[in-house]
Amino acid sequence: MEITVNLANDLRIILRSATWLWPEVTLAIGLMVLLLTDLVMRKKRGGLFIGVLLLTVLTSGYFLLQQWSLLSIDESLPRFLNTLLVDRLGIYLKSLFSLTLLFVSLITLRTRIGSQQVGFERLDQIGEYYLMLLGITLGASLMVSSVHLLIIYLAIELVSLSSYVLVNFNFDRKSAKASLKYVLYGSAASGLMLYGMSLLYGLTGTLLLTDTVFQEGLQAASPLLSSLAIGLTISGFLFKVSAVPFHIWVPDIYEGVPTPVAAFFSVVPKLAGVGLLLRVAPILFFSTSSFPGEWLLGIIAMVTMIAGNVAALHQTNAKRMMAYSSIAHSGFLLAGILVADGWGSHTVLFYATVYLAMNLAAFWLINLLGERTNSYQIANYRGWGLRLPALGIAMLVVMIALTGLPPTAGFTAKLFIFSALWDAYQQTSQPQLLYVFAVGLLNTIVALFYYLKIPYYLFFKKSPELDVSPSPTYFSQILGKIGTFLLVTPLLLLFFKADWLLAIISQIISVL
Amino acid sequence: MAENLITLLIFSPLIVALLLLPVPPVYSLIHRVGMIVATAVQLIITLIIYAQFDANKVAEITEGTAYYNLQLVERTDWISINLGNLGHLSIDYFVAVDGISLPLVILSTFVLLIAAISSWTIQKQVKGYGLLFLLLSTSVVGCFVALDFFLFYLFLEFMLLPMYFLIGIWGGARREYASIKFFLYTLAGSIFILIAMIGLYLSVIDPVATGEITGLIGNHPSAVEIDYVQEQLQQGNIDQSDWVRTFDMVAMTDKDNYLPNSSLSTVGSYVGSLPLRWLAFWALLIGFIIKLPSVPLHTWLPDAHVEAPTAISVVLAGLLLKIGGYGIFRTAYSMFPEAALQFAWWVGFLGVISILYGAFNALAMHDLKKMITYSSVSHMGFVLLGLASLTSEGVSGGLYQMFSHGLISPLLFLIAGAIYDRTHDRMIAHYGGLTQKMPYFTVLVIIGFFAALGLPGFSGFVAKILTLLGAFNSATVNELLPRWMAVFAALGLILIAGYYLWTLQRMFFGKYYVREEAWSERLIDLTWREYIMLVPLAAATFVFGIAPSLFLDMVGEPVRYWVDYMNGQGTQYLDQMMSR
Repeated sequence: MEITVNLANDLRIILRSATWLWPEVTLAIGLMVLLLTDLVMRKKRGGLFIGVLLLTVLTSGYFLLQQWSLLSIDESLPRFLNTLLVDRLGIYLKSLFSLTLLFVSLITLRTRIGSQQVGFERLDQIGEYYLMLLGITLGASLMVSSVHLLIIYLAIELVSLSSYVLVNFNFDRKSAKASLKYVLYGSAASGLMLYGMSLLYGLTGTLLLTDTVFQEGLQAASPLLSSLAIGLTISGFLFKVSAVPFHIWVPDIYEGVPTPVAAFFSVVPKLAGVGLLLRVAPILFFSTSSFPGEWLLGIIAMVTMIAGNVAALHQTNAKRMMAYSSIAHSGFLLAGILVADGWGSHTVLFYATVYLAMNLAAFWLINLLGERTNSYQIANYRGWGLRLPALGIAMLVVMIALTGLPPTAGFTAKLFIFSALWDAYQQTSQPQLLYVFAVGLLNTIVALFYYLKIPYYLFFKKSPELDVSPSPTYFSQILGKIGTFLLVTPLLLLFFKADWLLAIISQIISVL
Repeated sequence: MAENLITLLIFSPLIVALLLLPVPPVYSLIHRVGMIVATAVQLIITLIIYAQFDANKVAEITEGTAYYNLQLVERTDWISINLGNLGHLSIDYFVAVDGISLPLVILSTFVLLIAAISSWTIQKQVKGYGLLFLLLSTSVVGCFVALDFFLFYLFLEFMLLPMYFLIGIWGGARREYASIKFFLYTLAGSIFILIAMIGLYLSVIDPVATGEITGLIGNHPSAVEIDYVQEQLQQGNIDQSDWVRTFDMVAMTDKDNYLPNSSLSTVGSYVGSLPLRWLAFWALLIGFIIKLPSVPLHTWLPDAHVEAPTAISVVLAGLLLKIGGYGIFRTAYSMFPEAALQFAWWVGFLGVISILYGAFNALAMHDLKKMITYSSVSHMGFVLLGLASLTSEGVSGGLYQMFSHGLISPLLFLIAGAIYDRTHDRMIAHYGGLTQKMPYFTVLVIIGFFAALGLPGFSGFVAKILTLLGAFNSATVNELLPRWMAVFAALGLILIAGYYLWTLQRMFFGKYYVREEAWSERLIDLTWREYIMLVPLAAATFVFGIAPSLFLDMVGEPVRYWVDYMNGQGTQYLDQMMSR
């Protein structure tokens, strides 16, 4: 990136580029408005915060829609001297983040009505809560719209720093422990990544991954050095998607934070990492002949699936179980990234979308059950399925979807990923693809065992005594039902009409 | 109406379930009647289908495939995805019946009705039970008529969930262990099937749809036109972006539909020295013999049966096991004929082992229900043996065995249930001389036991004789099975007779004895509701025993055609693979 003296020209480029940055700018403005409101207002009003959040999300969503229609398939606009990219892949993922924010608003709205205490205050009255959510979203949006190492680093750090604060939101020992663990792991991972990036810069002389100079420099470098540089850089990305061995922080975090935050964590940073890997994996992993990227990623995918699923077997806490489950799902997403050219990237995006729907639904229901039982222990769910059949059945559907059984979208998503793997194997005959295929499918059986635990307690076990906590208010119950319906229906619909979602996804990248 | 008969057949229980959904649980009578009405409607629709079915009408369109007289075809586009340069992906809603599946559909609806009547005694949470039972009815029947692999797999998996809850909530003392074991075991089987399914659909194209897209043929093509498309495909004249990858199970049995150089074509990929096709065959075979079940993958069955409520045992033994056999016939065998020839010895061996091992186990059981369960394992061994022989006698015998066991095992489980309902105890040693106390019941027990052990005049006899004939003939006709297999299977017959007669003697003959005095007054003879369930089943085994042509007329021609197809195609494939 050369520094020119032509100020007028630069200004023109910046201004022209800025018009494509409206979704991010909206998020930043919303963030600042929230900050000011929080500072100025004496009496905290959850309603106002949620209002600002909703307005921000909807405005940014509007700009995303506009950008989507202005771009065509495969079109990629480099902005700000190639540091940012605007394309439909980024827009799609950003829309998913917006959807998650909408979900968080909904779940917080219920908290507001249900007056759920977090530490000393009600969750919805803490201004920083919204602030950090928007901060993560902004970081994640930047993560999925760049192939420039500097921007990638800054975006990841924005996500991480906001997360460090958000993790401590239960204000108790557990939460603090989780937060500390996260900060330590997180800073170690970004240190490694930064080291890797600086090595890459040293080897190639550029930070732009798509630059031809970058490729040439990497090929010319000594294999050991380039492998080291790529490996270190990638470890930062893998930290975000919580792949083994960078997954140790996940369970404590999920258990320690309020449920909406856990839901948010399980989706947004992970999908941002997936989006990032979709962009950079072909460049970093597969183009360097000296670096065994396919093997490495294949092994990481397999180990992640196995470690996540096996560790989940022993969990007694629903949120902790979901943490390990999300690790296992990372493994499946990585398996998709392994074959992410052409159709493979479609399957990854499909899986990512379904994963979002499944996880949000699962946390929503865990939250509802948590209100009733005052607990996240699976054993305390006993008998509730018979008492609240609609909730029980919804939970069953979500767990079946997470396992990957028909008739849910979870099955379709897995079917597509494995089809892509087989197809790639058919064309390239690389044995590691077949191993990932087999390991992934066999993992489904392990997964069934722990996912079924929740319906098992819901339906098979007798409830010990009468209600532990009073039923929620009428309005809150209605909101709960609507939310459940909105979250569970897509899981069934996308099984019976998977082509609807695929039609949208096929508008992002064309096959081959 | 008439053209949607099969759809109506599959989904009528689901419609009833939706109607019953708003009915509050307290009206348990409505839910009980609902189950019976739904399954009765299914039976009536099946009889209409039977009346419309013409066994001699050959479907021209399926020429070159393993299917002979496919009728009442319903086919609509369900999910179709454009993969750009990789072609298209098409999942169809494709249902039909042929001479092979129709008897099993008739059996299913009949047994489901009996099971619905048997469910009358369920007291706990009748609404939930009823809804799950109706879901089960839909998926069992759906499994037998689905001809799109995706749809078939959907029904296959969807059976597990209701079954899991029906065993896990309404079962016996160790129901939770049994239900989770059942689910995990059968899911493991399904995963093997899924592996093969993914490989298959990525290797097979639908010639009709592909022809339409390329414009080679019109809307209703003739067999000649389809041949032309297949020829173009094999020569590599059709562009990859025009390929329509399909889940069509009929298309999967025609070697001309396999993409040249795809991993499951005859010249497909090898893993080490093994062709991937043979691995796929084994994946399907293992998947379905878990459901069948055959030794050594049968260990879930005794637990599931013993803990399941009577009505669910009836469905499990009568129908779910048949899906295992049907699946082997339709997928593993029909799609990989050369592997069926290659591994006939192994399949036959598994069959013989199941017959003997199941029979010896049954001899040793103290629990009446467990004895019947192991007898099921033993009987299912005959299905494998018959299929492995790949002779028309053997295959029709295997199919007849599925049908006949589908009538007899519900009878036996209802008998065990009748005793259990009265005393809550099923130990054989706890009873003696029951004839004096329950004479009419004993008559039905004798019929059931004699039918099961293969007495001439009952359906079991015809089935076993045909199977053994096929197994013996195989050594001379196609040299697949050695003679000793048939000999050992025949030995199994003696064992089967042994344990049934011994049980009969211990429980029903001799001096009257029950373990606890209080049982005596509860051991009354059959109620009218039990007659309604037992008599039709007993009558059916008798009818199909003295008039086997009722069944054989339906399956005869398709089986003859299928056996020719298997032997012909199989040898051709093997030659191709060997010459490679």
